[in-house]
Amino acid sequence: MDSHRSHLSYRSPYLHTLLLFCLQRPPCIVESSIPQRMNFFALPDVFLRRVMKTVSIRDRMRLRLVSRSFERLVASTHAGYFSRVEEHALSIFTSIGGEALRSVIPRYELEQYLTHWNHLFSGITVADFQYYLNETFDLAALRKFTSKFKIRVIESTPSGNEHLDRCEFR
Amino acid sequence: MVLITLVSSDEQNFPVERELLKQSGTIETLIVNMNLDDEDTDAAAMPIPLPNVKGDVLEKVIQWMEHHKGDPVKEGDNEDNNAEIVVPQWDDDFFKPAMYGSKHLELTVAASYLDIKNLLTLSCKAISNTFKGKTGPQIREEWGVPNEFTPEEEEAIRKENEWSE
Repeated sequence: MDSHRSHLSYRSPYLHTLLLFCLQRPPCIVESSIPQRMNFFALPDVFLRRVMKTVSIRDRMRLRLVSRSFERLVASTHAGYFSRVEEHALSIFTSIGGEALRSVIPRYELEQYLTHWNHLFSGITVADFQYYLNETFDLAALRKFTSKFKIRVIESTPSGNEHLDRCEFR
Repeated sequence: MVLITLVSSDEQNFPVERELLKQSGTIETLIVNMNLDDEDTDAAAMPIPLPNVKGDVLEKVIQWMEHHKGDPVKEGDNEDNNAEIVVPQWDDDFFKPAMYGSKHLELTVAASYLDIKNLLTLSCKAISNTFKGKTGPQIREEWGVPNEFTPEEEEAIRKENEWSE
């Protein structure tokens, strides 16, 4: 009986301290049961760049609306490799990696559009680039449009071939 | 069946089938350099320490390798075609519980350290899939990103996007 009492008196202060400790903590939170939220920008730069190489152009546009950090990330990262880009009278329709981007650009806004376009990535690799020049989207505009492109094969309309002789692509 | 023991940073031992480890460039190099494939070598007596990978993360990596046993191993640094990377359903379910959490980050970093190219590609694509088709505010909410833009700035970007939406 005595030994039981002494055992209780030994444990009691410990339990008291433990209870106090638990009470000081926010209720109902068990840290180990809640996954810590990842700060996207905690990913090392090399992974951020890798992730961004798997993001579609349309999603890149939307990411610019998330925060300034995302806006900078979109502008400073490579868009990855695409097998085919087609430009059909570019002011109307762009198909990139099977993703159709319909662009209706008033002539006076062409420069702004090209600036916007060049904020969507720092570079892009395209295996097959097809383009059709038109009056609105002339060779100078095409040069600006493709300034960050690394193109392996270019296909053009006959009228485009004429211009191509004077045009250097990276 | 030859087993090779991997030791995590927190000293946990994981006996793993030799065949599975072909997917990890880092471990494959170690196995070759340590002659663990030689019949004369007692592979079980030579554990491979992985000081940069914690036990719980290594367990997930092994689980992934077990499922992808026999898959062709990517070689070289050829770029994947952005439009063609698809995360299979099993992998999507595998990544989902840890998505948005620091565990996914640790898994991605481990895939890079262990040079498991397929896991790294799928892990990065799984992250980018969280952006797919979402609006800026939706992504902000899911990733816990504060809105830094003034309404005017937001409207200006939205207008630019309208050119191509």
